[in-house]
Amino acid sequence: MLASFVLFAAHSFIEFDENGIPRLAKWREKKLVKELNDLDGAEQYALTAGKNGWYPCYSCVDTTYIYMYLGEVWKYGTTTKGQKGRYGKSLKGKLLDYHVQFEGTLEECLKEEKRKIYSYALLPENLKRTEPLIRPPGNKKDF
Amino acid sequence: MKKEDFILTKLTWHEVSGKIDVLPIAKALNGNIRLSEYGIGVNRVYFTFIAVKPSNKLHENEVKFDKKSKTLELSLNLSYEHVFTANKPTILKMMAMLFLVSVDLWERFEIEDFDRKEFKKEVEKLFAKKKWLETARLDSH
Repeated sequence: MLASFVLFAAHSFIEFDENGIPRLAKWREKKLVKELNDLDGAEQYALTAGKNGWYPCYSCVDTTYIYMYLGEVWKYGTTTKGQKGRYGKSLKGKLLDYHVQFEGTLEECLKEEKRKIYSYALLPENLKRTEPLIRPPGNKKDF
Repeated sequence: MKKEDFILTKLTWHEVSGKIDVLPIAKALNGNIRLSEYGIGVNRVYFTFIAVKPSNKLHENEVKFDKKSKTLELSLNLSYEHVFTANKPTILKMMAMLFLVSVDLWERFEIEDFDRKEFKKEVEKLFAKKKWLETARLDSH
């Protein structure tokens, strides 16, 4: 008994109420609520070329860079943390504009993202290419 | 390729994306102003114009200075309500004004060897010449 009390005391993620019943520590509960809220407050976005020029291409078959025109889609994505949370400094210098296209729960946004990634192949900006891409240049995978 | 001192981008809700054009301001700045003329304290300025719905809490104002690379990073919100109702020329003026007043925010970093006041004066002159600082009236469509 004493041993288990010491164990709980050392792991402050568990507290006891006045009746000695264990419950989550306040900070854990707060973290849980925040994370659940985050899942409800997601957004699906598109990153588009901020100017005509060369951009990294992860979906190109035999090249690592692709010439893009202003406004063309480079990547679709979903985040619960916004641009800074998702990318930090990694977008710096790539000259990409960020467009919030859909807001909803994380699940809704991921579905929307997937629809957009698959449909990208049929966009006029992709069809006009000699070798159309299966997904946007900035999307390494279908999700 | 010549290094551009000012990298301007936008972060927008899709309904107003088409109304926000950063290129005129980026071209004006990069074509007329060199940061090195005001000292060696700032190498580059990254500026993001934000226009998202007020309910969106994922994108907040941020002003940062990286001492090592001497780069300033600013992400600042335009008033979404005004952007939503205003026309493109008016929004351009709002953007120019936001960029100009944001120069005062650099003061907190106490950047050594950079004449911020003189820089702001030159930006103001440039924007005035472009007629971007005329009237704060928010013309709608």
